Amino acid sequence: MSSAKQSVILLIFDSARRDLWFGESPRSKISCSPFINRLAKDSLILDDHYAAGCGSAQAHMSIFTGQHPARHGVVHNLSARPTDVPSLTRILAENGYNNFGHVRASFIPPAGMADEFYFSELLDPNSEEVRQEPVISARRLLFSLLRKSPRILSFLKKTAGKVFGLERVLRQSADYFSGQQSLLYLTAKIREQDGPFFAYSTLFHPHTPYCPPLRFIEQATGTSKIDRLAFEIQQNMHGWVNGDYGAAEEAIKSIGLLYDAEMLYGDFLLERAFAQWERDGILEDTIVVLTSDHGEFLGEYGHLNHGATVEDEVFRTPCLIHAPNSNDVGAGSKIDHLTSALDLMPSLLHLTGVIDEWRTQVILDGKNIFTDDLKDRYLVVDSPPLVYPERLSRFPKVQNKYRGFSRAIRNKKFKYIWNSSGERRLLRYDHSSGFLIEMDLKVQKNIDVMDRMHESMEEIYVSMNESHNLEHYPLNMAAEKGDKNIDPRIREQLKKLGYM
Amino acid sequence: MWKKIFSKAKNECNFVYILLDQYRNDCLNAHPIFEFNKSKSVRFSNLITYAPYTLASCHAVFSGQYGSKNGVNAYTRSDCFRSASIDTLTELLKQAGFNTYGFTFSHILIPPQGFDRLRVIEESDEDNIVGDHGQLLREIAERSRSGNFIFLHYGGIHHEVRKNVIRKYALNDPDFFDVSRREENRNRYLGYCHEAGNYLDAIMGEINNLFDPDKTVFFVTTDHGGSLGEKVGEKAYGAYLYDYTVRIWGDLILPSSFGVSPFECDTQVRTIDILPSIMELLNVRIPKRVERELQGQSFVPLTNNCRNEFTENPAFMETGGVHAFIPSPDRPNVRGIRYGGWKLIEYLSTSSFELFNLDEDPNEELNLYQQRPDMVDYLYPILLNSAKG
Repeated sequence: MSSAKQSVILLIFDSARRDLWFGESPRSKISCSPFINRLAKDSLILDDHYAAGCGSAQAHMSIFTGQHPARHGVVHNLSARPTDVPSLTRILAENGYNNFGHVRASFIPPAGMADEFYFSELLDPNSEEVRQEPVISARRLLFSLLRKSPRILSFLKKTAGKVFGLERVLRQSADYFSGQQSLLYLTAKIREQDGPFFAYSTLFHPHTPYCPPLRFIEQATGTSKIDRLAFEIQQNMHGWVNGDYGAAEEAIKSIGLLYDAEMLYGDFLLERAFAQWERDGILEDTIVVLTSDHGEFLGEYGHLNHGATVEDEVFRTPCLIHAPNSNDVGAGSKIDHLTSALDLMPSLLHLTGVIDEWRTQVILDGKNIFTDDLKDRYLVVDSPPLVYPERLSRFPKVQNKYRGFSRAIRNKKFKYIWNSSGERRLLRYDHSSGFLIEMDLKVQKNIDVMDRMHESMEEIYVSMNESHNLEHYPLNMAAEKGDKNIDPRIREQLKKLGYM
Repeated sequence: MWKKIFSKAKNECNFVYILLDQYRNDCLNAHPIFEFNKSKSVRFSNLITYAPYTLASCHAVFSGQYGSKNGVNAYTRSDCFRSASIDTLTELLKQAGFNTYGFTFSHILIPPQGFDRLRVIEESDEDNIVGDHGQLLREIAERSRSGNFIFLHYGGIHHEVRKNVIRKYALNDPDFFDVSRREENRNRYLGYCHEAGNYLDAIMGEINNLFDPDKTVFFVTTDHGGSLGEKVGEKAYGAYLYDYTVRIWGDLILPSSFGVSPFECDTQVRTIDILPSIMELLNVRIPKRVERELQGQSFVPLTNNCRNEFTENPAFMETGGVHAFIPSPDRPNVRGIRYGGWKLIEYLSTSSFELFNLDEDPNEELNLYQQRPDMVDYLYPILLNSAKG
């Protein structure tokens, strides 16, 4: 096995939006990623980077496959997972890499799909429990039962919130998702390697719950006080979107500060891991990619969290590539062209020096940012409709707000948004101010731009899927448990009646 | 007035509920019995079913609740009926002293609670349905000639459509869906309807012989309609929510002694309204705890042409087809609301919508979803509110 090949560490900071990195946060007015900012001086920044999806499953799937969600079919956390998609990790494995990873959530691919993605080891809460507790403990049994009964779990959480305080319950949950364990795992595992490796983790910083250790909250809030309602709203985001709390401006402001604090904590954990990797001498021959899967809403347009829209708050993401041994990655350099999470697979394969044979094996929607022409580029993104809206029957305004679905296409100048209700918008990027400006649709010139972008959007979708229908958004849901558990006598009757 | 008349009838009259499975609203000309019945009945020609397939439709009728509330809102959920917290139509009548009998062709189609006897003869064992139902009726009459609730389920159309359409054609088969085949499809279907008419004629004759016609109320109806190839992807029913499957009919035939003038009532009523209506007709008091949970409203005032005492309600409907381009047997993936001459349909699997102006476009061909956001904004919250469990 040749050690000349560059190893790769991919760290995805779940829900980090672009304005968190490489400068001051507009909320806390401090740098929430001081270590990443320092690292940026020796790295390449993709300055206008776009996520491939507004939710974790679709965005991760695209990062690992270089394919748009419209092609690989994962458009939601509950979508069925294709098992035969060529992936970055598969090509790396075929070229002698050892792939391993650690994540704190089981529902985000490639978690739960170690074999399909050619990981020699990929630990998630499910697989880790099995590894650590070969004998079923009462605790594990209880938790696995509770996970299957979301209503009971929610009831217990509410009760615990009343008894112990919401902040404490939230903190317990945040501790569970801490990235510390993942980074320790990666460090230990990297030390064992004697050949090229691909190490991966998704860190839930700054993903909800935003409740990092107190000192990071104090750092982000400064003299401001946290509105306690911010903890309650975090546990009932749909309630806020539904208008159950009114505007709750102070609480929303506090949520923004807690989000910043969560990133500070993530940055702190990363700095510690980096220091160790430096001591271990692995950084010289390793490409480190830091990015996020999607951004986050912090109250803008009445949204919290992510998903269900195509706004830039959710789609503009940070991306940094640190590769001291690569001629393609200049220290402190930037790519201003439009890049996408779809580009990571071909670009990383280029940096690792894996021979180009893989290109004939896969269909890619992303580009190699080091060799392909990125000028005049168009990207399409979309957001799925609400899945199983009946679960939100307590929140009619939420259901109404997220009725239908949206698609968008953008280039460096414009962004065109189409909603299934027929609503169309055209926005212009003002790169000097960083704002998106709504264009007047009574002006014929703007209508012409919009029509051309609509046409391009359709062309791109059709190129990915010949039977694409703009007005339909298939959710490709995974088979449900109900189907498997159906009483055999009922199944027999349904068959007799000609229903199955 | 009704309460006065029926207060005498309680426990003395018989209520016969005849369900002709899958009988389209526009095919009532298939047999003279329907014209004859119309001349004696209040015909509800704008009755909207909750679901265009039998088991969810029937559970909604028997509970007076939509499937989203009673638990049966998908093909595979017949065992999810919340029987512990629901008093069915049959149970309420049983509690009021009625003898309760039923006849159907599968035990999953209707809730069995409250029946003294529910006889199930599956299609494979069925060779003479008039004879089988007649036998049951004679047994009932031997026990008591009054105070009976009798539910009779005729499945002949369903069985024939399954054999000759569902199993024969593909979901986009031009041999079925091409416009040139529409007449052939209709004629074939009318043949099945004629057979249903023969059954109805014979069975009503039998009932009138066995029981006192002056003390017997009939409600002859269907559970859903069926496709004749109007919309590609729906060979029979259950895939979509167009009017040819959800807009059904019901003939309420009252004894002549009640002095009601027959007429056709085109006010929109819903299948969840049937339970409270029967209760009011038979002057059976609904316990408060049951009443609180009911989603239907009695349409009895309409039978006396008292439209001002009845407010048209939005009709919520949903389905998840098994024979569909996107099958969804475990949970509904299409839902809709029909109200004020408009219908809004939401396809949850593709997140697309359709909006129809039913007065101007009864065949539901022109989707106005993007042209009329005002109507969508008006109807969608109503849909969401109705969809609540």
